[in-house]
Amino acid sequence: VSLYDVHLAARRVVHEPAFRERLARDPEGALAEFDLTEDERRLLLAGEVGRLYELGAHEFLLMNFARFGVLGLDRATFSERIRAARR
Amino acid sequence: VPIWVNALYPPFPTAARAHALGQAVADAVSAYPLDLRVGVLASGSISHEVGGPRVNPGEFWAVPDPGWVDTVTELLRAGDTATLVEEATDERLDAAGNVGHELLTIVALLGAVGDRPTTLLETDERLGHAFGVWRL
Repeated sequence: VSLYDVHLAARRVVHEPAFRERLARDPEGALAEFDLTEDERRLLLAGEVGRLYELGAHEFLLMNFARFGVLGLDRATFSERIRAARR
Repeated sequence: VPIWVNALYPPFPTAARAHALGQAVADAVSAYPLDLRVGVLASGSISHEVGGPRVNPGEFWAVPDPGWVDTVTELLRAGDTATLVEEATDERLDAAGNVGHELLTIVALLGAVGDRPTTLLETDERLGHAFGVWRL
């Protein structure tokens, strides 16, 4: 299922500390249980929130990855990448 | 009694519809058989972007349209609800940020309190918000 599982992962980062720790320690393993397209998986692992936004992912949820410092994201990288996205 | 006005995901209600919703709330309060003291609360921003492409560099947020904050707060101070409803178009609220449609909650509140100026209004320009009170 496209996008839904991107959103689901973003939500679980907030609500499930164990998942958050796994995503920080072993991103590929943590994302393996999600039904993602190859593009989504690649973009998530690269922290490419701008591209995911352009594919239709919601910015509120994408922001969760940066809030918790996973997928190589922090406030500065999130801001830079989302600002480069087309609305 | 919580009421949810969709301000986050299109399709959005029009400002006229939000205003009519507030009027219906006032009608319901008036029709209630008990003589109660009633407060109506609304929460929402005027111009704000959260996590979207218009955020400030290095931040999760921004105020994309400070001029709109001035326009809205002037209209609230003047109690000019009709002009606010007219100016709060879908395009205008979108230009105010990705949570710009939250103004609809305030427009709904105006429907409930009627066309009257704010008793107290404090603007927080830095965040694109304002805090207002209408004492009836």
